[in-house]
Amino acid sequence: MSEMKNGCSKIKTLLEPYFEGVLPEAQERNLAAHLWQCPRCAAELEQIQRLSLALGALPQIEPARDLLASISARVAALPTPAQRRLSRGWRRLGLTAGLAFALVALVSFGLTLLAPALVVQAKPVLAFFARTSHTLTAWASGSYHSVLITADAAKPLWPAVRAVGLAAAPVIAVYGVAQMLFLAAVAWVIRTRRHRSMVPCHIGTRRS
Amino acid sequence: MAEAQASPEETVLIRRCLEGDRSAFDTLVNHCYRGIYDMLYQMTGSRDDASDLTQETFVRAYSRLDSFELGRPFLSWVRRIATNICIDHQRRRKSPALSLDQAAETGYELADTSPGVSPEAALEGSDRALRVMSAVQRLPENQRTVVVLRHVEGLSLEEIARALRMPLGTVKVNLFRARQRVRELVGEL
Repeated sequence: MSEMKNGCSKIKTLLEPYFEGVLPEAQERNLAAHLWQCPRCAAELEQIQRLSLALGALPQIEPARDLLASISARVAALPTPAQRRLSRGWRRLGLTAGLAFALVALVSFGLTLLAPALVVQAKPVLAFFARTSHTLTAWASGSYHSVLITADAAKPLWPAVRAVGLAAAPVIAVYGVAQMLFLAAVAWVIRTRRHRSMVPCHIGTRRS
Repeated sequence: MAEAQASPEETVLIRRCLEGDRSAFDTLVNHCYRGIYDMLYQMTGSRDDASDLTQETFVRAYSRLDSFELGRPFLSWVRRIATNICIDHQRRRKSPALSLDQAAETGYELADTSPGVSPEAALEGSDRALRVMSAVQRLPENQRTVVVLRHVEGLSLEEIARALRMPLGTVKVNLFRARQRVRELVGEL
């Protein structure tokens, strides 16, 4: 008897999966055989079946009559998918333009700072071209010598330029980011204005 | 199991929505808002919450229509949105369980008044429905969601797992525990 009881308590844990049909085949066969012999477990399975029917037969709850109108009004207050794509385009354009501006600002700043050093680095290269090509020599002679003279003349100023440039670096970076945000904000304002001009403001208040 | 495909009419309606035709979205909403409301009512046990969450569901669906995969059933997608919104809502505000009295006070006609059903049988059926509804409301949120999707919405276990992005094993465990708990709460059926 106690063996049967132990068997039943184990079987009971399998009744739910059995009812759902998710037990392995062999286990399902054993359980079906047990249910033929055990009225208690069979009754328990019947309760599961009854509950399943009761859950499936719960009456459908009808919504309030104005729910559909409320949904329509709230949806009407939203931008259409096409408008959203457009606004996303504006935002992307603003961000891209701002980012490009910031990059140009930083690169030009960097070049200004490093120009004298680059000229010095370029000396042997220019000399090589000057030796190997008469045409190039003719072209380079003027600009090469004038650049070198300018660079040499500006040499005493380099430390000062570099110091000022390094101090200005954070300011320029902040300026670039601010430009980026500004352009993004302009894009957002344009989008909002377009949207407001298309959608009446009184629509879309949430139903209390 | 492969997910069902949308009907061609539904796909056409969604294309029209994407092109900016709001009336097409209204048509789609009209087809499925009752089912979504009913599901949300079973999950929340509150008429007001179900109404608010139904609105929220369709607002979110419209806002995210660009991410909808054309050819998939719209209802399944909306159901998933509704389920997520409901779960978020319940996490934010732990709603008290619906008592039998509260359920009776909601004003819904639960008794079966169809011809051929005796008043006693109708009342008995009504009483059973109330007991079951109340028991479902007392379940933990994850179990309640699974039970509603399985029995009220009629989804398969695999569909529930997909909708809730939950492992199949977890869905089974939640469902079995939920039904066990409901049986304990309801008693003899």
